[in-house]
Amino acid sequence: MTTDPRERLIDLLCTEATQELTPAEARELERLLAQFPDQDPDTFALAAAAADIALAGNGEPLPPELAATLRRDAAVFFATNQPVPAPASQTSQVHSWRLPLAGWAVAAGLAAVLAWSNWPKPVPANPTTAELLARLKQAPGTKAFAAEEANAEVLWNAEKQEGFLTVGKLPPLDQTREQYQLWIVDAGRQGKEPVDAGVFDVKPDGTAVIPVKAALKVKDAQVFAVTKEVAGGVVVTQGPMVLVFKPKAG
Amino acid sequence: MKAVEGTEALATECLLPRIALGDQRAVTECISRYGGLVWSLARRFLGNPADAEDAVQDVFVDLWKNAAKFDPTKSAEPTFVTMVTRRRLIDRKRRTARVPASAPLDMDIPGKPDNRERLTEISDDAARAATALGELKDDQRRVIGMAIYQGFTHEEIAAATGMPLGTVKTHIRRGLIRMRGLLGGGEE
Repeated sequence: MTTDPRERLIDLLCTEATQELTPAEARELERLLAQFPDQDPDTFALAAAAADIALAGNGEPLPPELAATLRRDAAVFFATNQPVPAPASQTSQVHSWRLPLAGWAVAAGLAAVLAWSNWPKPVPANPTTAELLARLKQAPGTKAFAAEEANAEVLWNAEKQEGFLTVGKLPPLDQTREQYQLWIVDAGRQGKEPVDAGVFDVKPDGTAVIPVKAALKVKDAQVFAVTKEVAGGVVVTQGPMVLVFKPKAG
Repeated sequence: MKAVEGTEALATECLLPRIALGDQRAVTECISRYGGLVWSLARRFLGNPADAEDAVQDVFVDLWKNAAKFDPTKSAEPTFVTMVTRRRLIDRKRRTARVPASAPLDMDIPGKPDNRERLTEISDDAARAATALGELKDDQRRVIGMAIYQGFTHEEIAAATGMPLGTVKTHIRRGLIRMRGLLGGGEE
């Protein structure tokens, strides 16, 4: 048996991928994974799974009765593991970007008053959206996620907890009835709902550039998604998914 | 309601991110797409149809709970589904301390994966994995096949092949590392 703890960890992961570990091995594996948090615990289990798929050949179809049972299980699971969506009137207070926009309008008014009171001192101009976007692109740790069919991209910086959504081609909606809503699937919140990142509208030409602000702290954004929801947004999505943003290679 | 025109293909490509968002239509698709795969694995691992049925129900609940853990940059979705299934089945065998009853182990040593028909839902991923498996050295592929597909323990493989136990473990380790590298999951 190797005495190098990193090598021993790989030995144990390879064993775990192919057979049952003894209780002592399982404890040792847990300890070593804590010692080497950079080691992906799934990497060899995924390789073993790929080998299994390669060797499996033609499988048996799922019995129809079991498929029906699974659909019933799913209905029960999602009924008991998802909060009921709040009414639109409530969610619009909590989740809509419209009220923050109203707040921005007030802030803009105050800024105008302050600018006037400080006249003739020059007031630094607020950065444009293009400048903010460029800064975010250049910031260390910013990751890009793409949904190519809509010429759409999300830039997300985990440290800043800031991002930008740009969309090149989405059909405009009747904003009084429906809005698009952005969601973040956070690997740091396993088993929990995706994080609401706000509702948005697109211009008549189908484009939009929207700052992304998550409702909760996002530890490890894996996927972004856009759904179509009632105006004001919802707490838990029930609308159709219209875009899925996957991490861009490189 | 219908997805935006032109987005259907991507929206149906991976189901688990949609399930993580609570999209129940994706759940139905998930059962259709992966039900045969999970059922076949359960039948092979457990043998007994009643045990397999229970296990399949457990596996799908695991999948729904862990849908957000799926990372498309680390693996194909069928591979993730298979990993979750294998872990649940290995755990179930440990808890019930049973061995496969109605499906005796095939003592044939696996050769290079052939072109036999595969589950149509996952045929592309199976083809890629088969190509990777075909790249392994003969001893590595043989030992990995016995461990993963036929369910032999490392000790049983050593006894069946006459290889020292350490050699069996080395073949498995090097084979998995090579598979991981060939499938884009890390250094070879």
